[in-house]
Amino acid sequence: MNHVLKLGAITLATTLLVACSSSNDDDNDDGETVVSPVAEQDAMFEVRITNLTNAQPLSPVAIMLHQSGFNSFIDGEAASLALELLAEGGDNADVLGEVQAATQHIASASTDGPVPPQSISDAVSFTVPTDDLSDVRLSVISMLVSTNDAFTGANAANISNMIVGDVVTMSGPTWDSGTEANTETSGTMPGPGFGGEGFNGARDDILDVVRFHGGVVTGESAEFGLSTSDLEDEHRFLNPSSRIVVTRVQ
Amino acid sequence: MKLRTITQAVALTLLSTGAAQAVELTVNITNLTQGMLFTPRLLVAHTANVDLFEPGTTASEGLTAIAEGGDTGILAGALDAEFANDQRNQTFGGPLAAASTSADYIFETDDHPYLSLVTMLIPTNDAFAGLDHWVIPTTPGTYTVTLNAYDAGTEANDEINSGTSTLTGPGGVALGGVGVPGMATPAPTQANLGSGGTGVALESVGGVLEDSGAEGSVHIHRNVLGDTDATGGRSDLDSTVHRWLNPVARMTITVN
Repeated sequence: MNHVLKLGAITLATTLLVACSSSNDDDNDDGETVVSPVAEQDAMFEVRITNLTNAQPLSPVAIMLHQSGFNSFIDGEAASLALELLAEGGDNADVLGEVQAATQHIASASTDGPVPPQSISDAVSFTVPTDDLSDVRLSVISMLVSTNDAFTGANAANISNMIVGDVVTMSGPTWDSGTEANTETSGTMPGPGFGGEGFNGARDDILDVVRFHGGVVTGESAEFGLSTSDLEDEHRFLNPSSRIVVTRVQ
Repeated sequence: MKLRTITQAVALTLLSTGAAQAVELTVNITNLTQGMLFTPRLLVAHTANVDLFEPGTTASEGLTAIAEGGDTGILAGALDAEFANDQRNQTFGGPLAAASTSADYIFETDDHPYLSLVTMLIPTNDAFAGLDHWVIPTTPGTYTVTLNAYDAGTEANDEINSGTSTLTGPGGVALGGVGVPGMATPAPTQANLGSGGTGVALESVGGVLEDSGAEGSVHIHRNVLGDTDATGGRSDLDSTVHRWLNPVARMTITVN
């Protein structure tokens, strides 16, 4: 299915190129002006991530532009190993590797580093061939570091047909990758706060599927809390946990 | 597919002269929570004067029956009786498990401009996910909307497992029904539930939960609390399982 779509796109693109080159030949023969190269200039997008949480660092953010038909994950289905690596340990290399290997890939990159709580990331720039603009999806994935396996972002959001100057803002909910039990113990949460274990291949959550996160319980309440939790009041969050701003700059 | 739809629409127009042109939707719903089931979904296409629920106002009898017991029949009956020509409603599906997506529902709107949906979250006292007056696009295509969880405001959130609790309601009435305390906890919800709780928003006195049934109006649900004591404590919900953050559902709506 995906391959068929992509092959169709390639065929179409090739046909257009062939048509262009033959018409250019005609143009040259007739001595007419060559079509301005500005019309064929690649589009450029900038993407920024705002960490809206109180005290959850966001791991280096995987930002991916791709055609429809690709998803890094699907709600209600088991997480890939690549997503598990990101959601448990903050390592986005394999998530980026997956999209880069996909036929639908357009452009992708990571932010330079983590995005601290209550801050905005640097802009990350992407070049998109104008031929691809009619079908551009944005996927963004970043771990809420002081959790077992929570992540935020966007899943194949449609940003097709943006014109220069357009700004699209979206709110990132919080997912649970379903790959690790939410014990909230310091030994199971990586990063600066706790320094515990990141990725662990065991799948010991109550459901081994991606869904929305129910929030961290924390140990703050003796009556309603989780007595083994090392999280505190400051680590709580509500949706949205991130904001994603896409600007077409060229 | 598109040709077939057009053919059907033409046929329908010919058969029912004077009737509004049918607009067909394909709808599915994803339960985004990890610990709540959705009861059968009441889907309604309607005009501006029809309202399934309105935050800030008290719930109707029909909405109460859905939010406390998952029964769509009373609201559907009331809509048909009061708004025969202003809405079309249909109840879809059975229990929808946590973190799963329903089948595709084919729904004729009778050309009404708005779409609403209500489904109860179980196990809770009176929580429901709602879509309220969504404007049905006139341009064919696939659209995505997310739904928040509301509290019907008709029952205190005692978080008591009516399937196992030894408590009773006022006058010794059994827990769990519409208009009495206790959560709706049918079999599929029992796996993650505790027992022996004494009550959260309402605590039992002498083995009785004295819920007046007049909590207030429809509002955004403040979430359940739960605890981690499976055989006691205040709540029979599990704080690591049953809590949610909005939104709790996503609907994918295709205008055919």
